[in-house]
Amino acid sequence: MPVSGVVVRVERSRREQVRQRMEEMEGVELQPAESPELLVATLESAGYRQEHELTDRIQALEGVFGLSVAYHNFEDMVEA
Amino acid sequence: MDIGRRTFIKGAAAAAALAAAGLPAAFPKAALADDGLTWGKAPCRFCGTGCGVLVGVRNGKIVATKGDALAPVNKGLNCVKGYNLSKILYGEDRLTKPLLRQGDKFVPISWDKALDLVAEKIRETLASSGPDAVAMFGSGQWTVHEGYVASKFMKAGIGSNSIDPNARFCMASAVAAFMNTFGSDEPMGNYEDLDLGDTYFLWGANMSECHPILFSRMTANRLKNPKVQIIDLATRFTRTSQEADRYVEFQPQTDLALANGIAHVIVREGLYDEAFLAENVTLKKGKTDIGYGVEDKFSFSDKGEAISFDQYRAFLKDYSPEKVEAISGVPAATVEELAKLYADKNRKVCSYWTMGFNQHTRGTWVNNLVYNLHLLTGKIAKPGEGPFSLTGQPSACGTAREVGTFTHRLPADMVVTNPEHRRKAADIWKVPVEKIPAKPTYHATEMLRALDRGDIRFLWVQCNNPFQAAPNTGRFRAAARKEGRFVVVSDAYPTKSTEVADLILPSAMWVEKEGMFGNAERRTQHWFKQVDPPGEAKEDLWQLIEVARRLGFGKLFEYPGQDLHHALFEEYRRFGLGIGKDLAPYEVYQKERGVIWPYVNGESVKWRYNTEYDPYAKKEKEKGISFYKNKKEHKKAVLWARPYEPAAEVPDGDYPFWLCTGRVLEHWHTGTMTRRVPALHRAVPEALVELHPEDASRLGIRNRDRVLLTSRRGSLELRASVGERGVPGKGSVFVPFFDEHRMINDLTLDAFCPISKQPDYKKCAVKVERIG
Repeated sequence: MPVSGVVVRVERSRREQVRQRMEEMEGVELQPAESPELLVATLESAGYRQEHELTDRIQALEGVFGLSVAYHNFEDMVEA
Repeated sequence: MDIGRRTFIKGAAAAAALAAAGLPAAFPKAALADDGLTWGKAPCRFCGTGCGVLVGVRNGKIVATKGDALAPVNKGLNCVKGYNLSKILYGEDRLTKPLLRQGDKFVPISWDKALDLVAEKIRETLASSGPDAVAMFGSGQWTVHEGYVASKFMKAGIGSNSIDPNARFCMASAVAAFMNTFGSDEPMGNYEDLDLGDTYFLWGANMSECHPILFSRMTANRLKNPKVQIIDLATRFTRTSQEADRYVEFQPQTDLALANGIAHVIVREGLYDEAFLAENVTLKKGKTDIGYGVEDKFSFSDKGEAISFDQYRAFLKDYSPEKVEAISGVPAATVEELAKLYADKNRKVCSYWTMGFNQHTRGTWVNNLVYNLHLLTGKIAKPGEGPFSLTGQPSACGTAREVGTFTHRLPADMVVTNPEHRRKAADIWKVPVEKIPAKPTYHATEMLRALDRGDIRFLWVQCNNPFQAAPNTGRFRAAARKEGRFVVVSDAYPTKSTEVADLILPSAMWVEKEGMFGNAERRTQHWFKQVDPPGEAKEDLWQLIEVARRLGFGKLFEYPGQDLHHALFEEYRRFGLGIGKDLAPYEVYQKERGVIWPYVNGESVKWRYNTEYDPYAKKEKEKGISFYKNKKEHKKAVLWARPYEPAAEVPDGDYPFWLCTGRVLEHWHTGTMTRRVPALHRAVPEALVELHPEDASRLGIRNRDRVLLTSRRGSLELRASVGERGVPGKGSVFVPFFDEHRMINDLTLDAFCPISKQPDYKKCAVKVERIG
């Protein structure tokens, strides 16, 4: 189960809308972040495929400019 | 994984992300705690940005990565390719044994047999055809050590200048213009300019997708400073355009006219910095109507002629905003506005560019023209102000350019045509000066043409994929299989180049070996080996040295009692000391998150040529700017009068569309690594042809319809993308080149800039037909 910490760059006027949509996604945990153009979240998924589908869904949201990763741990995928 | 461990990792992930976003972390201790992994630093393996990555290893395998918060380049963030970086090591079809062609098949052989065969084929070629017929096709992805060994292997060992890197395809025009403008390669500024400037002109650079971490630094600057403006000058509407404050579309090739139009307004309105020009700039014009290099053995040599400022002013008369509008499609009023932004004394202006400028049949010229804008306004070599050429490969600068793995180059900007430079190289390499040939042989495109003609008989390709990446590549793939050629390809995976090889050598990659890369801001970064390569894969450096031993010049690479990587670097460092190209001692790189050169008195010079930051400039004058490397121009920069000239192949009735090629966010170059990362492959599984919605509608093409694209060189079937991520200008189509099953370079034209010899992948003519 990969775990990641990500930073999402969003359009200012749509930040709240993006935040709400991300909050509804399973495996996404938003972190308290005071920034008009950024959202910070941890992502937990059952596997790489699901994790990627999650990042794809986030990046496809209207108002999202880009997603960057700060931390990516997949130890139980490698060692399973 | 138990719940406790999982909670701990989530805390570390949150802390790392908050810190990278520059926000207070709720779990500061979690990020610092011992997580049972061994962490090592490395630069990213992909583009020229040079992001720092921390690699987490347990039981000999990479199990985690994080953006390196201490890395000044990316401050803890990685892009989506960096997200999946470590997965490139673990593709299912990694090459693990040397493979020899037998008919249409490859059979495993031992390393001894493989290396003996390479040596035998080189010996045969030397005997039958001479040293120039032995060629090395190198890479901007080679580590500094590998490039240095390859250059020494060819120039001091074989005695041949037939070495050129794939970097010829990505930034040779930038090199040529740096050299003929400033007398020294590479930018004067650094990435801090992204944080310190307020007006950013992006010329043909889709930074949001191709340099996302640098683009996010620019947008972070805008978040803090409402004065910041990002202006995207391009031929295709991209994610960058979407995020920019202004998008200015111009017709392909007309960036030459647009840059001159901006200069016209600056000169006409007297907005230039007269004192700066008088002190620091000399003016020249070069040859015109210089050709396109489409014929074999094309040769060109530019000749500069001094001109006065009045002559330059007269030259610019052809580029009034109205005339520029007629050529480029950019409204005259916009040209006026852009000029005033460039010249506004209250604005700190930076220009960024990459392949749009460099992959251009007038690539050197258009690089010259953007320097003109900064020289006219004196906005150069200062914090937040200056021109900056971005790069596409992780060590295009550090290896290809600085080590000098081009046919005409030696380390530290030296060239084989200069007897003093050859003497210095021969002294350091301890070979007779006559060993290093004085004449360059083949640049990358011509090297492949020479293979076709039979002028090259032995070709060794390392760390890149020219038989997918070269323009008009169909000709060259056929050439590789001609009788009497022997092609060796060292790579980590099967590629379109291994497909045409006679012998495939399995290579170690990234943290499977010790290495260094040099990024676009002159930052050299070191990493240690962190995991073993799979099977019998070996680093390229080892492969070269083993063949050198078999050929009798192994002594060139013997450093008794010393660590090989350390000794190689210290020998290489001698080339640049005391001439403004100073690298730091090896130990410094082992500790630091990269070091910017020149490294003088224990410190990096962040803004070259500026007396406030650069001790070399300070030696020249008390205060201001000194272009001290341009000795033959009396330490002044050259402002070049360069005209607009049309592209090599322009759309017509038979082939009515421009074809532009490039990259997408998820894939890097020919996709040999990123297509093996399932997440990236699934995201963008195939190359699509992007069309403008009006063109698509006129041709009856809808999203995902099958389309046949035809140029004078070949045809390719692709599915259409209409009005999605990228939208080319009307009359243009765009196709990325990552997809080995859809070889867009079978259609591109091998025309190049006659000065830099860099091909133009952005402009040729095609027709577009709907087929279903």
